[in-house]
Amino acid sequence: MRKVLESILVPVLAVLIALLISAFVIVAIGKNPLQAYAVLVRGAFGSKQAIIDTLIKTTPLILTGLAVGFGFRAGVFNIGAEGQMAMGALIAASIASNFGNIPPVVAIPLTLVIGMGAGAGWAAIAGFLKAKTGAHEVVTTIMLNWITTFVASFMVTGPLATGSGTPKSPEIAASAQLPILMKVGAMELSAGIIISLLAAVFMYVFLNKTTVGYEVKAVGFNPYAAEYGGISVSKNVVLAMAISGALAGLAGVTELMGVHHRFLGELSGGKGFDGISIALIGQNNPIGIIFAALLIGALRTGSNEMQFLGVSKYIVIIVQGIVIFLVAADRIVRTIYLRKKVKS
Amino acid sequence: MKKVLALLLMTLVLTAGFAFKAIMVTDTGGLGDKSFNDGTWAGIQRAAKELGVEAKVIMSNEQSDYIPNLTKAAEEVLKEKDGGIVFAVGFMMQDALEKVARQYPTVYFAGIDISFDKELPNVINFLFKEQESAFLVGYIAAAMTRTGKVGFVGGIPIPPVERFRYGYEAGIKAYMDLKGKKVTVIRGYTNEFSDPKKGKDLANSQFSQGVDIIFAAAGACGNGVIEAAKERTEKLAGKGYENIKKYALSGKPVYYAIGVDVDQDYMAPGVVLTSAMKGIDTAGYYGVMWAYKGQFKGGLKVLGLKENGVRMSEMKYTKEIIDKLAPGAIKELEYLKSLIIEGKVIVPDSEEALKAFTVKGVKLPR
Amino acid sequence: MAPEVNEIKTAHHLYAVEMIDITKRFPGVLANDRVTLRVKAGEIHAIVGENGAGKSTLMNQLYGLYHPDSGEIRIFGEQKRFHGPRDAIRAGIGMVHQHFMLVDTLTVAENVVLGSEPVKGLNFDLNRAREEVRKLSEAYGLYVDIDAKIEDIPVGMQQRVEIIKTLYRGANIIILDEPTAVLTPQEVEELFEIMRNLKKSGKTILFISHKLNEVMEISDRITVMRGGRVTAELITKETNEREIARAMVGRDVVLKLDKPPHKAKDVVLEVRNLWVKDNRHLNAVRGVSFQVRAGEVVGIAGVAGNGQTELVEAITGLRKVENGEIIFLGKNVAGAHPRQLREMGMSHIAEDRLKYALIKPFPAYYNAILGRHYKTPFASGAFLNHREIKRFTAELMEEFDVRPRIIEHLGGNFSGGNQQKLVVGREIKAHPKFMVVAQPTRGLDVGAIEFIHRQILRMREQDVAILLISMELEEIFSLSDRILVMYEGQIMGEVRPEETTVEEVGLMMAGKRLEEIRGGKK
Repeated sequence: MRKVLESILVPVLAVLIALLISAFVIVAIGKNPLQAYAVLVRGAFGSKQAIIDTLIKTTPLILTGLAVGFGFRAGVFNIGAEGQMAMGALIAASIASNFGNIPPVVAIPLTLVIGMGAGAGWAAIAGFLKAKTGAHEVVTTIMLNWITTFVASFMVTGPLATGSGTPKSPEIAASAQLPILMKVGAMELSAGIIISLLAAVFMYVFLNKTTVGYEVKAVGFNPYAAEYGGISVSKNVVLAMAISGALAGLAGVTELMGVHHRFLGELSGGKGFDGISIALIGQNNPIGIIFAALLIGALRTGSNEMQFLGVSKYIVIIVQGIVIFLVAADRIVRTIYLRKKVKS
Repeated sequence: MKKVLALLLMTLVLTAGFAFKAIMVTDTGGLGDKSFNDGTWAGIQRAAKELGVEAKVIMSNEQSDYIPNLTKAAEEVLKEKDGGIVFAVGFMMQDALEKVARQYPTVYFAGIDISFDKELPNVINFLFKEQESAFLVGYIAAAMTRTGKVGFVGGIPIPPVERFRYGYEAGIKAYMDLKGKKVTVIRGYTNEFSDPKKGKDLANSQFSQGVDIIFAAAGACGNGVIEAAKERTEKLAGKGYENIKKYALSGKPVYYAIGVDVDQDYMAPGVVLTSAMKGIDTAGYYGVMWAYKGQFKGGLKVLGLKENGVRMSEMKYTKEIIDKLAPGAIKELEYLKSLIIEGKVIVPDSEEALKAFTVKGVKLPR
Repeated sequence: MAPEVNEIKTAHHLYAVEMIDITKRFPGVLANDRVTLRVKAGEIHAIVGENGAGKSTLMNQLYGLYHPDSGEIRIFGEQKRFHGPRDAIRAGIGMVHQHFMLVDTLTVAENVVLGSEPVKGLNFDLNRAREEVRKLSEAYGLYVDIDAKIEDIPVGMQQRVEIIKTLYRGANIIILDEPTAVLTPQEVEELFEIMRNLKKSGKTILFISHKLNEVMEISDRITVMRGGRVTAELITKETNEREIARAMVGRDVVLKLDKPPHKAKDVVLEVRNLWVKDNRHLNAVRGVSFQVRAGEVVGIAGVAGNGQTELVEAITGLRKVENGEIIFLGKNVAGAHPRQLREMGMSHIAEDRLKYALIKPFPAYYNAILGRHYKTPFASGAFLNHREIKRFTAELMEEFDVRPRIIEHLGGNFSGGNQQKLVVGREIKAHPKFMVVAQPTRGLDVGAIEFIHRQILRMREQDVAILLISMELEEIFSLSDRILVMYEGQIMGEVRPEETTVEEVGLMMAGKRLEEIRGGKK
């Protein structure tokens, strides 16, 4: 119980410290930090529209956070969620534009599966290379990210290009679009948020309740002991990468099916990398990841509102940076916390 | 909470002299791109100052910010008694602008580098004939290159970027046709508009392939291109404009960059050969003016050399060098410019038109 | 360095170290309960006790790593309060930890002077360092290769480097924490020689151990601890192993088990002309052949690094077989995956339990099912059956006396002995037909050793075929029905414990073939 409390306390403390430090920065640029934070909160949660915006931003962040977090739990550092996300969306977009005649009950799950499969396959390449040749997944996934960037850019300016305006693919069939839960103005909250929460449940159940989850964790913690216990390390490394990639692919495909309805060059927009920070802040725990994603999503949404006060959006990046620094180096926070405890 | 909010709103209202607001939403490049976000903002601010109204900016972090940020801006404008205008800056915001503008038919919008398939009555869209200014800088580049190789660094190959390229290559072709000099173009894209590092890497790679002049049409990435040229030139000539100028005038080869969107000549005096400017500040300025004065008329405005919507920089720092090393080039440019304005030369705005483009019929005045 | 000052004090005080009424409490544990330790200047003082008896906590307080909650520490009669190891070092105390604190990629000389006081200028004076290390090494008979990198020298030499390090920092009182746990018998002898040299030159040594024969051999006096308290203070010459063991465990301990005669049955495992390579791709096992029958213990003796590890890994499917056959229950299983082997009835108590046998961040109940986690009753379909897993773990921990008896306790948080009991319990409860038992009692205390030995013999009586690999000759002799001796990847000979002597086995361990030895005698 104390452990649970502590694992909640560390990120919360980190956020508070980060806000405090950023407050000094805000004062330094001659603004009132309390006012800025009030606007930040209002911008993120102050209206129906704000809440929808926050949730829209949170959805892909939960999924990429889960993707990276799952990887960490399985002992692989999937830095390629960005590429897997884009790959998932790109492949799904190029196929799902032809789903006009398929009813939603089939088209929606099918598109989701295609996106997840594309992400999984893309990540499994790195897993396979690691298992067979020992090539480190950090290196290979970064390389795969680049390949994705250029393939995607080529596709939307070449074979898939449509219409004028932003380089983009044709719109996917209406039957493959996610149902809208709420709509305010031009902003639509899709069922993607529900999918992301289900994915968190899946990750929890998979890791804690299944034999495969047991094996994946065992390999992550101690590959030698896993092999000794009859668990194939190479098989599980590929599997872990594939599942991580599937979650990233899911992030891409929900973004496709719920927000943009078409593939855009900037669709992933760094969210795959955000997943790393979110997994860190959420301490690789599915529930923690949900809250971490909500935190980042809310900060970003609120920061746009904060700009009206003349407080730069970069303040939020500072907050995020400090939070990650503190959580990643949570020993600092822990030490402070423990020292206090010893003294009292 | 409500009280705090009310207070905040009041302070917002009080700071505004009039109940009119001009709000600009940037694309992901953001302010500080020294290119079209900054350019538009400069125009908006100039108008706001003259009119004594409030101007605000919201920067977007990512593509999915466009709709919410435009929505926010529209909501803000709705609150004002005398209304206002919302600017969407950048080609990438086309879809978002269209969606949001439909939701707020009573709010004025202006799109920079944006056009719709079907224009809306509450949106004024500005497009520019980038190819026309690019034609001029391309001609200068062809005249100035010592290696016979010039470079082009684009952002994402979207239409405005491509129009810059068509014009640039057409200008080079014109020079080749008229002067019989062989010049090849090396092209590259950074695939984004915000990271100067990528522009710099690409520029350095082109320079090492023998290119000595690069035209950057890549938003903030272009700043990296200028930096790369500056570093290389400074290594040869030493730091400072005077040294660079002296060195270049002595006839020794140096590296040049060509700026884009706004007059970027000042960013590295003597190194930025010239800039292919878009009158985005003009668009920003008139957008605010028209909306305020009730002269707003929705639809598409295409601005070219004729409308003074695009132009070439004054070449404050490099004119002397160009005159020395490519005598007559600037005069020839003036003539070509007049032909374009008169419609006698049509600068290509597509790949096909570029292929067919020729100035064989033109005779330069002696 | 200020050794002169301390030496003057030595003359005046009977006790080099006095720790009086030391109490140290950790959350939930009373680690030291009014412990008093008195160490005479110039003696070798052994501190013995089972794992968790509070020895390390006591020593860490002496070395300034922890502060006592109450009590006082005196060094040569002077009361001290250490705020960290730096203070302790200044007071002339040096400590050689069980896990060496050396930088693998630096040389011996560089390691010795690393981080020591006084700090030298910006330019590191390597020649002076080498000279000082050479002097110390000669003065105390601590042979080291000054310019070799740590990663290239054997464990015994690394330990000597640690000792030189303490001497270089001016230590008069040297704490050796379980120094023999990692050493071969020969290296242990060398260490004892060094300890005697140090004693001769007036150093005081605190020797932490739970190996009673070693304590009897080297120490002058003994402090025995159990459950955080001192249970006996003994003079070595006036006591015996039995008395020490009783003070340690709190009851009488059987130090040598009776091995009832048991008839070996069918061949369960046969190794034929096995060749295996090590991590450096050199042949580590070179044409080994032997059989293990149901109901017998075959012991493999040998100095560490003669191919035993690779042999075990090959048999258990963890290492590639280059050549030869491993016939298990009539089937060639060379190259089979560990899971296949486990399915067929092979169990494996791994030599390196932290590397292989245990997953430290897993709770006991996950560690208890490793290898069978996917089978009923631990799994139903794709899902783990937590209720059954926990029930089984509780049963296992009860049966094999794993403490603390908390099934949620993480694998890494158990003491070494309890980790091993957990592993042994798991491997036995898989009901194997054949069991590979490698270094089963390394680093364990007498109580745990006795327990594990009993379990091995119990398995033998149940007709399990057992292959025992051990560095401890005593263990090999007391458990094995047959003994094979390995040297440089080959078997030097096979003997029965009742028909051989330690000397004969020792000669084989040094590379003489049995025929040569016995032929020579004739």
